[in-house]
Amino acid sequence: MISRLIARRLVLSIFVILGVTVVVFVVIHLSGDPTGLMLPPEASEAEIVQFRHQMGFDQPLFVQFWKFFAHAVRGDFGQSLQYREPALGLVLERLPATIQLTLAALFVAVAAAIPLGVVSAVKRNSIVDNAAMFLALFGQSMPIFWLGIVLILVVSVRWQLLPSSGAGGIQYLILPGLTLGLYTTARITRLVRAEMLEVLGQDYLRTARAKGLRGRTVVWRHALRNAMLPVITMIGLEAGSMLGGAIITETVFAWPGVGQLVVGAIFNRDYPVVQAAVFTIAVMFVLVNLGVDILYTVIDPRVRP
Amino acid sequence: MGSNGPGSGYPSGSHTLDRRAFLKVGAGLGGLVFAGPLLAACGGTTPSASTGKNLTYAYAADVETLDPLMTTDTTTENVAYQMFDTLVRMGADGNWQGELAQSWENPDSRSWKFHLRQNVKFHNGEPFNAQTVKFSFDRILDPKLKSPAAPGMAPFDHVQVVDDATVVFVTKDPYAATLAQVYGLYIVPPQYIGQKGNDGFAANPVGTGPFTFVERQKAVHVKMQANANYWKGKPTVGTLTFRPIPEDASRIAALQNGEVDWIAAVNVDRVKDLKTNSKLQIQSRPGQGIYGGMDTLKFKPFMDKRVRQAMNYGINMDSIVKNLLDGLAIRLPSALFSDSPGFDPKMAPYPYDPNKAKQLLSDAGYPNGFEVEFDLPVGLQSTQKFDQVGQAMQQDLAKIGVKANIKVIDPGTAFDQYRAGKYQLFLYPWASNHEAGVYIQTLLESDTRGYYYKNPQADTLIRQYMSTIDATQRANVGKQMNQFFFDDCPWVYMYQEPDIYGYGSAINWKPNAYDAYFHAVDVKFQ
Repeated sequence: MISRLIARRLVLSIFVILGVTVVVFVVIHLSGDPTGLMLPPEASEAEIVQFRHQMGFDQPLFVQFWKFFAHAVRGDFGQSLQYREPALGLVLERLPATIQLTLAALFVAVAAAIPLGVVSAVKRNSIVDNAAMFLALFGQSMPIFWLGIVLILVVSVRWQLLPSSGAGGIQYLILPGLTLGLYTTARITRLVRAEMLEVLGQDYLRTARAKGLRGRTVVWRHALRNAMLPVITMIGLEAGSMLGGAIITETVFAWPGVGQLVVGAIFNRDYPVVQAAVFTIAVMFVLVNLGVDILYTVIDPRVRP
Repeated sequence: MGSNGPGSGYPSGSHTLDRRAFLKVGAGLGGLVFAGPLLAACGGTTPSASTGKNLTYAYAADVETLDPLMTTDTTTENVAYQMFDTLVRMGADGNWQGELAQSWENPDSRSWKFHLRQNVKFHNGEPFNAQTVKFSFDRILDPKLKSPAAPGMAPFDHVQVVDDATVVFVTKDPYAATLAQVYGLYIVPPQYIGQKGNDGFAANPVGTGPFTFVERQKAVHVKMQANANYWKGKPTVGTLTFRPIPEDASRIAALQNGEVDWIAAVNVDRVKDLKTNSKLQIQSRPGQGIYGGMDTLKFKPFMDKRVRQAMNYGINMDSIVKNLLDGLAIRLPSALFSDSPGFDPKMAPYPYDPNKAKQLLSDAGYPNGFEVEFDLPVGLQSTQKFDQVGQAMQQDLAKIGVKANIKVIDPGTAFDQYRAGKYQLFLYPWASNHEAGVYIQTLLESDTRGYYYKNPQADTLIRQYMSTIDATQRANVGKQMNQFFFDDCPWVYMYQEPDIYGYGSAINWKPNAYDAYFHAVDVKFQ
């Protein structure tokens, strides 16, 4: 049964990925070509014309698209204009760093948000609840950029505890992980609290308590499990977008992930890299969503097809 | 956030919750937070001061490639110059110095004969000689390679090997900026490239330069080490590491923290604050030139010279330099840089004189001014504060009746629109090269681009300036040309932005006013 669901979703995904790729191709090509950024500033008009011809930028858009498409279906997104290497390879090289950062941020977010959200809901309007909600508001309204810089200034420069940027051992992962994770923590905490409040008022929980189940069993096993459905959706969406590269976090911490690569590629009109990245991100997103759907069926028997 | 994180702050006295379950989560979180300092302490990442012979330097972008002939990107070249040599190099006194070439002469106005240094070897032991110079030149122009650096070699007809130690560069026309272009020709090893192929060479570059390649981790670092057999002697810096740190504030934090020893592209707003730190030195050099372009071909008011002069009189550029660029930018009175051949140090820039500007506008038939679109490619080529500079100009122009409507242009599309002649009034960066003539030729000569300005008299002067080999004669032509542009005003003359560097106080190094490139071989320690 699940395999049929997966198959159907995968077929749909192909169209999604295709659509995204076409849209991005058109948008980025309509907004100009990278000649001016690639040639030295002293290039003459004649050299510019020759270079555009050499690179195929002077051909009609549909010809360029057809060439791109014919190669892309074979997994060949062309050479990066800036780095002179296969574009897809460049993106895939960066993926492990991005996955690492995503996992770290999700770990922070889930580990903090679920207990916080649950406690806030159970001890509604208590100091704990107010504090948690303040923290959630703070975490969500605070710009990631600012938080990242503040963490660098305090933890790295003032306390000299962790490296301020770059990549290497796990110590390099902590600050970007916290920065990215805190934002997500805030969003998930609020959702967990709201869902828990709704679930806690349900009749079956009153029944559970009435038949003498312990409070913690009621909360953690019966209530939380039912409250988790939308939370998992959100975690999935957050994971999906983080896997596309946490652009600001990666830039602030000089983290060598996909996000940094994509920003640079967009600024430099490096079409092949942008295309390959969009393709990769779309695939990641689809896979994560698929994973979420499968998880649903595990958590909630009603969803099983 | 430390130990007061959201998890561990929870009171354990709650009755409705399973304490053990909760503690498990809390321990995980706490573990993550606490593992850091511990790992940092034992992992050897504790910042090291620049007292040793290691130097880590940081730019805002990563290198594009390690094949030095396949790029025109400044950051990439700032890594290439550590591993590769060129025939000549710009000295701190503004004169060209021999590197792999010991001397040179002009047998005729189109030939540049270089006498090469002997017994120089590439890092792999391959010999350097006249053939390698020719190979490197031919490689840039190889159509299969599609090198973006090829246009720089366009003035040359061919390179001819005389013997192992002598090579002649023959230009198509007499070309005064020959040495400036030869400075961009990195000498690469033919045999090695033959064996490894272009990709193999880019992955494991081999040059004759002061540092040898050790390792590259993309977007993280390029590691190099001192070349013990360097022909000038082993450099003082032992291990040299390049790091890309895109965010300005993070780059500065890494410097303050001692994780890097030297950084480029310090934001002008941070200079005052950083200068108070006794552990750091902040130095600048005149960097890229900024000009206010005017469409003198299609936009009617700018077709009149008097209006263009009024634009120069009507903007308080001194105030912009002083208040927005911290006084660190160098004002330019005309098209040449202050360090270019033929620049007259006595030439004063247009003074701020709004009354004179209004008078000129009135004479030209615009007593009530006019409206113009003002395009600002904010963020293009790391330019500084285009938005604020543009607003200041807008306010000044309003006072003389010129209504400038600011439009911010995305850097990626800026060149396309510039090339298509879509701008009326615009800010644009041009060069940070001592040989400003090359850029003047590109931007102001009719045949090379001619997008916004065409003037036969200017063409004659530019061509003369670029084809006069004799230094004294060239200086005279330069002076004449600069005076002509001062009067004709194809641009609103602005300034050279400062290139600002920050580095540890133990480093004995000064930026070269004539050379935008960093050569780590020059770094000594106090």
